[in-house]
Amino acid sequence: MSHIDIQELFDESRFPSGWKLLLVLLYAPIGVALLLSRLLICFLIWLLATLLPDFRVLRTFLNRAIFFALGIIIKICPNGEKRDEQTRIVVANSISAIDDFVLTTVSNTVMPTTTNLPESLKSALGLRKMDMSNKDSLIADIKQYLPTSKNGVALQPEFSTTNSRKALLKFNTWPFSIEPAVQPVVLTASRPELINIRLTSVASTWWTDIMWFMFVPYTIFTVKFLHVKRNTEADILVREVEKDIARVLKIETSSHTVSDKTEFEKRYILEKIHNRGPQNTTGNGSPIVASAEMQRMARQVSEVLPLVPQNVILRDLLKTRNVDITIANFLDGVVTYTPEPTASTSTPGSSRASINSTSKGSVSLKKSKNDVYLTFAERKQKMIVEARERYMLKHGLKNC
Amino acid sequence: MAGSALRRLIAEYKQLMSNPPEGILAGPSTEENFFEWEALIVGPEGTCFEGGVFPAKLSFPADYPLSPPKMQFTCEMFHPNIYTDGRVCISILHAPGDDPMGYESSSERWSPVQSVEKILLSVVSMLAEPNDESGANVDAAKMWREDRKQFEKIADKLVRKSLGIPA
Repeated sequence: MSHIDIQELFDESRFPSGWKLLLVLLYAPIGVALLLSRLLICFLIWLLATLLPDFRVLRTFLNRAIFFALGIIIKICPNGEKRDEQTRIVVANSISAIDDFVLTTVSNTVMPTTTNLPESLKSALGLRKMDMSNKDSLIADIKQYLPTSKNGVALQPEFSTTNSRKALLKFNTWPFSIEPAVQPVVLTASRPELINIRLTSVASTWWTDIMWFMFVPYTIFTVKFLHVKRNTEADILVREVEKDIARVLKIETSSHTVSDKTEFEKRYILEKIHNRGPQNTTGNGSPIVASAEMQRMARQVSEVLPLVPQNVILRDLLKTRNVDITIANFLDGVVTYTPEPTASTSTPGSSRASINSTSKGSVSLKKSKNDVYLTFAERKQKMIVEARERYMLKHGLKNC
Repeated sequence: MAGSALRRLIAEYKQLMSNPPEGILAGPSTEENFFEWEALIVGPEGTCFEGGVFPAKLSFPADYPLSPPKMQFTCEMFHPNIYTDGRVCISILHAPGDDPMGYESSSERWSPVQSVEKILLSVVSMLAEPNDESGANVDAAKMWREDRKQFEKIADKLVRKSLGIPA
C-alpha cells in the first residue's frame, strides 16, 4: 500500500475544464429540459409504485422505466467471466449512487438498505430492507435471506464512492465473512465525450448525483465479472479481491477507509464555509446577521469547551464579542458556570478503563501532589525507571 | 480557529499534569509547539503488554477539537489494531460520518467532547483487548486468534525492549 493523498481519490468538481465546459454550458438548456421531463417520469414511477400492488410485471416495468428516466445503458464486458449463479455474494467497487440498480439488473442481486420505499420500487432498484443497526445483525439477516431467495446479495465493501482513477478505498472485511466464495465485479461508467460530467464529486449528495444523471443525455455502465474467489479466511479473501478489482481498473489499493473519506469531506466543507466567511460578515449592521454570527461564535466556543452550557456562553459572548476572550474567561475562571452532565459522553470502549482509573484516583492524586513540580521530561524519565524496576522485581531479575 | 485549538490543548495539558490518570503521561514535546505531543503508555496489568512503557506521538490538526488528532507509536509494536509503522487504528480517532453499514457506532467516534485523556484510555483498553475485526496488522490479528502463546511471547519481547532490558 503506497501513500496516496486522500484528495486524489475524489474530484473537487464534476465539470470538465476549458472548452469542454463551454460545451456543457451550451448544452445546458437541452439538459434542463431533459431533466424536467425525466423528473416527471420519476414522479409517475413513484406514483405507480405507491398506488399499485406489488406484482412481477410491475417490477419489470418499473425497472425499465428507471433505465429510461436516468438514461442508463448497461454493457457487459465481453472478455470478462460469466455470472456464476452458484456464488451468492457479489462484491463490486463503488462508483455512483445507483450501483445497486445496475448490479441487480445484471446479476440478480439485492443490496441491503434501510429506506422505506414501496416494495415494488425497492425490488426494481435492487434494494431490500434489512436490519442495518449493526454489523452482526446485518450479517445474520443476509445469512437468513440467502437460502430463502433465488437472488444473491451485492455488497460494496468500500461503502463509499471514489473517482476510480487513482485508488480504491480500503475494503471492509466483514462482507467476506458471510460465505467462503465471492464473485468480484468491476463497474465503470462513461458519459458522452462532449458532455463529460463526472458521476460524483467531493461531498455531493446522492440526489444531486441523480439529478446529473437526468441532465446528461445518457450514461453507459460497463460491468465486468471476474473469476470467483474462494478462501475461508476473510482477512485474506478481502485483500485478494481488492487487488483483483484494482488491477482490472488499473488503479491502486489504499489504506484510506470510508471514515477517512467522511472526515476529508467534512474538512472540505468546513474550509469552504471558512473561505466564504468574510463576505458574509460584511453586512454586520443588521440584527439578524449579528445573531447568526453570535450563534456561530457560540458554536466555536462550545466545540472547545463542550461542558459549558450554551446560554452561559452566549451571555459572555454578548459582552466580549470575541471567541478567544470568552474561552479565556472560562478557562481562567473569570466567568463561572455549572458544567453540563457528562454521563452520556463516556464511550463504551473506554468505560472499563475509566473505571479502573477512577478507582485508583485517590492514589494518583496523592502521587501527583509530589509530582507537580517535576517537568515533563523528568516525569517521563521517572515513569520508565519505575516501570523497569517493577518489571525486574516481578520477574526476579538482577540489575542489568 | 488555531487560537482556540491552542487554548483547548493548553487546558487539556494542564488537566493531565495536575491530575494524571494511572499509567498515562502525555504532553507537548517542546513548549514551542503545542500541536505535537509525546505520550507514554504503560501496558495494563494482567495483559500480555503488562509493564511495558510504550512511547507514541500525537499530532493535532489546526482545527482541533473539531477533527481528531493522529496517533502513532514510535516504538516497535505488534498488535492487531496498530499498523506496522505504529499508526493506531481505533474508532475514537475517527470522526463519525454516515457509516452506511453500521461498522462502528458513532458513540465510539471522535467528537469535540472527547479528549486526549479519553483517547489514551481507549488505547490502554485496546492494548488489553485487541479488536481482531478491524485488522490494521493482519498477521498480528491472526496470531492473536490462533496462536496466543506466540503472541504473548512477542509482546513480552516488546515490553522488555521498551524498558531497555535485554531479552
